Amino acid sequence: MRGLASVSKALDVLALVLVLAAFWLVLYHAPTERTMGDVQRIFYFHVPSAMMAFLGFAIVLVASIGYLATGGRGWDSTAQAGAEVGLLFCTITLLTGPVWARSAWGVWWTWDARLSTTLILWLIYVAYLALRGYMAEDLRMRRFSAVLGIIGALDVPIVYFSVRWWRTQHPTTFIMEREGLHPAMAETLRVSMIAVLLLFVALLLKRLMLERIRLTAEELRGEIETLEMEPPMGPADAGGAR
Amino acid sequence: MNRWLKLFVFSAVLSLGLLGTAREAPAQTEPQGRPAEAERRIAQSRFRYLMLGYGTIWVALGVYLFSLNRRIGSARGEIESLQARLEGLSRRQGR
Repeated sequence: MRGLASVSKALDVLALVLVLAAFWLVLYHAPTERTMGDVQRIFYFHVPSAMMAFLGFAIVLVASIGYLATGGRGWDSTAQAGAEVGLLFCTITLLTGPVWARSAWGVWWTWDARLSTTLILWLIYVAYLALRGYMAEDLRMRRFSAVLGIIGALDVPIVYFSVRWWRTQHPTTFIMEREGLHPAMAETLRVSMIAVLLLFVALLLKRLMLERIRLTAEELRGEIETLEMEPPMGPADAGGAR
Repeated sequence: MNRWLKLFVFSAVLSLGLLGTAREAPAQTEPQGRPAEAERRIAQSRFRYLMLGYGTIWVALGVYLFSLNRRIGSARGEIESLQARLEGLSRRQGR
């Protein structure tokens, strides 16, 4: 756990320094977009947040499959950490999107395909964490949540391609198709992506640390239970069997 | 205050400062043929939405960090009390 803690410490500082640098670039380096004005600058954290939400749910997918295949507790903990951090970034995406929409479209929310599928994705992972929170911590809960985690992750490609499959109001730019972006905007977006990725990793490590501490506490509780069941040793026992 | 929270508060304050100074910068949007006063009001309104957007991000991150730190703190506290209980039990069992 000490190794994880020292990596986490270094990442904490690096992530926040990069986030601040990215924020500086967003405000001073990226040019103002012609039609949307300053509000377009939300894009530099909105898009990376959406990507990190996808990454979080991809981690849930891989870890849930890993758990169902091996039954290892580490996989389950990783899935839970990925879901929680992914949900945080999905929340940020869902909160910053309407702020942009209000200024650009004149409405906070519209039942457009991208927005609706993202909201569904968010609800699936809220249900995932609620399931884990309300069911007793046992094999059944871990299996149920692994299955729900896999089903939820299937929504990620639907969200991503929704702007191509349906007519939507949401900008249809794909992350791989940024040729039209002003060079300073592309640079700012790249730095923001790296900054938000580092923030994601730092938070994920911190969340994994919490899971490790909980597992240690569970082991200690098990040891205490075993000791409480055993009768106390007499002086002869303590000295060894003769 | 925990290291993460200190770093977070520092970053949030610095970001507020950055936003405050950015507000002084003139709007560079393409003129849409509106009077200067209307242009200025639109630019101000957009800047307010920008502040709301980034404010939301900082608040969401702050709330999550605070809750995560509290959970880690209470889990560590639980481990300490369990270890103390285990030591007591081991002594009583004569190990």
